[in-house]
Amino acid sequence: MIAVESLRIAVRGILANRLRSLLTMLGVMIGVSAVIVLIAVGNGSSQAVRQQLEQLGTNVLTVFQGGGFFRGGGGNQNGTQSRSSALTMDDVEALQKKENAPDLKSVSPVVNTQVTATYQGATYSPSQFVGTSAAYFEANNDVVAAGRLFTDADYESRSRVVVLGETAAENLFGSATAGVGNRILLNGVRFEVIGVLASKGSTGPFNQDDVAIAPLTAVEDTLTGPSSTLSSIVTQATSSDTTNAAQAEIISTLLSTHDITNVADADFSVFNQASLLAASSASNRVFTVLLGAVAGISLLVGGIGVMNIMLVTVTERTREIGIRKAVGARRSHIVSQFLVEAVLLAMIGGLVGVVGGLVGSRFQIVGVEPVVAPYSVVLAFGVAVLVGLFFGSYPANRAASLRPIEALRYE
Amino acid sequence: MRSLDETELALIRNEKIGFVFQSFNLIPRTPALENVELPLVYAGIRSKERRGRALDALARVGLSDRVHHVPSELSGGQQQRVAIARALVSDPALILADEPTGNLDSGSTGELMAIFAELNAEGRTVVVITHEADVAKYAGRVVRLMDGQVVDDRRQSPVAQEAKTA
Repeated sequence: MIAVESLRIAVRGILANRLRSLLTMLGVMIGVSAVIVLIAVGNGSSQAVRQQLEQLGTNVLTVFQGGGFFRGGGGNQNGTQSRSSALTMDDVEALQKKENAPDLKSVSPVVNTQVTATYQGATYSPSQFVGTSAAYFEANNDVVAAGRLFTDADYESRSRVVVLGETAAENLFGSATAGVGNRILLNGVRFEVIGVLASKGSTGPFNQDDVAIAPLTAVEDTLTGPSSTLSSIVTQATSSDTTNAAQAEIISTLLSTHDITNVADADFSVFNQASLLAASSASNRVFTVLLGAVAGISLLVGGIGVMNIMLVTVTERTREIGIRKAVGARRSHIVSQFLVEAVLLAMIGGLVGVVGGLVGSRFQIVGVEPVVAPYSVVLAFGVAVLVGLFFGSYPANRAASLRPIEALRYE
Repeated sequence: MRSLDETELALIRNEKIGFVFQSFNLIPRTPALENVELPLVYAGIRSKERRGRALDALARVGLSDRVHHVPSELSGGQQQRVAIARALVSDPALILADEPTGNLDSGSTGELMAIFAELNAEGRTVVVITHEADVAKYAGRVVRLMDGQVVDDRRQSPVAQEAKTA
C-alpha cells in the first residue's frame, strides 16, 4: 500500500477520537518538554558557575595562611598551630624568584583591612580594602572604567593613590566616574583617587564592586604599619595549563621558607581555581544527567500511554481490521496502518513538546537561566518517535495477526 | 486452498472473491466512495483509476448520488448496496453473500436480489446463503443444507426478470 494511504487512514484514526488522541499526545508532549527544559536548567546552571569562576581567572592560585584549607595542607593543625607562621613579604620575594617558581607569571602580596573613607562630608566603608601590588589587577581581572590603575612605579614610590570599585565610588561621589582626580581621606590619611574599576557584578552575597585598592607600600606607611603580615598571596600561573605545576612550586617554595619538611604539616594552603572549576563542572554534569534521566522516565511513561491507547484502538477496531482483511488487506498493510498511527501520535506530541520545551526554557527556573542544549532537542524528539515506533509495534502486530473471520465476528 | 500462506490468501480475497455480509460491514465514519475504493487500495491501484472504478461500481448499484455519505447517513438497503459495490469493484469471479438480506425489509431485499441477478447474468458466480424461500427463488440452483448435510440440490428457473421489473 502506498505510504500516503497509510498516512490518510492514520490521520482519520487520530481524528476519529480527538480527546483521546490529545491526551495520549499530552503524555509524550510533557515528556519531551521535560527533557528539554530540565537539560536546559542543568546546562544553564553549569554555565553560570563556569562563567563566575572564569571571571575569577582559571590560572590564579591564592595562598592563604593556615593548613587544611582546600589544598596543600593536611589535617594536623593542632600540633603545628603554635609554630604556624604568617605569610610575609619574605614568602612573596621567594616566590618572585624565577628559579623557585618558573611557572608563576606574577606574585602579589595582599593585605585586607578595614578603612573609613571620607569625601566632603560623605563617609563610606567599602566592604573590602586591599593593599597590594600592580600585578593584582591582572590576576583579579580588574579593568579600569575611568582614570588609571596604579603601576609598579606607584608601588615603588609609595604613592598615596587608590583605585575604587564602582559601588564604593558611587557611595562617595554620587556617580561612578566623578571621583577620579579627587582626594579622599582613608582613616584620616589623604589618598588621591586615580581610577574607578569597571563593574564585575556580584558573586553570591559578595559584591565585587564594593572595593578600594591601594599600593601595599602606601597602606603599610599610613594604615597598617610596616611589619604587617599578609592576608594572602595572589599569584598567576603563566597559563591555565601550567597551573598545577605552579601550585607544586608554590608549595615546595613556601615549605622551605617556613622550614617545614612534611607537606601534611604545611601552615598555608593554596587555593586552585582551576581545580574548583573542574570539580564544579563534574558535579554539574551529574546534576544534568540526573535531571535528564528523570525527564526520560516521564517520556517513557508517555510512550506506555501511547501503547495503552493503541491497544484500546486495536480492540475497538477489531471489526474494521476484519473488514480490511476480507477485502484483501495483507498483514503488512494492517501493521503499517497502526504503526503509522502510533508514530504520528508520538511525533505530533513530540513536536508540540519541543515547542513547549523551548518556550519553557525562556523563563528563569529556580533562579537558573536555562540554556537549551541543541542536542537535547534532537534527542528528545528522536526518542519520542522511537517510543512511538517501539510501543506501537506490539499493538500493530496484534491487530495484523487477527484472523479475518474472528475479527468480523467480534462485537 | 489449504496450502496457501497468509499473503496469498489475502491476494485471493482481494482479486477473486467479493464478500457481502449480513451486517454490511462498512468502515464507519468513512464515505461510501472510500469504502468502495478499499479493495483497490490494497491491490495497489493508483488513486485516479481507483476513483473512476469506484464511481462506476456505485453507479451500478444506483448510488451515484450518495458517494460522499458516510455509512451512518445511509439506510440499511443503501449500505448493503455500497457493500455490493465494494464486492464487485475489483471485478471478482465469485461473489459470496452471507445472508445479505437478513437485516433488510422486503423492498430492499427485492432491489438487492435484482442486482445479484444482473451480476449473475453477466457470467459472475453469485453464492447467496439465506433462510428465506423468497430470496432463494431468485437463484438458478438451490442447495438445501440441514445440520451440515446436503438434503436437496435442484435447479430452477430464476425469477430475476420478474423482480427487476417489479
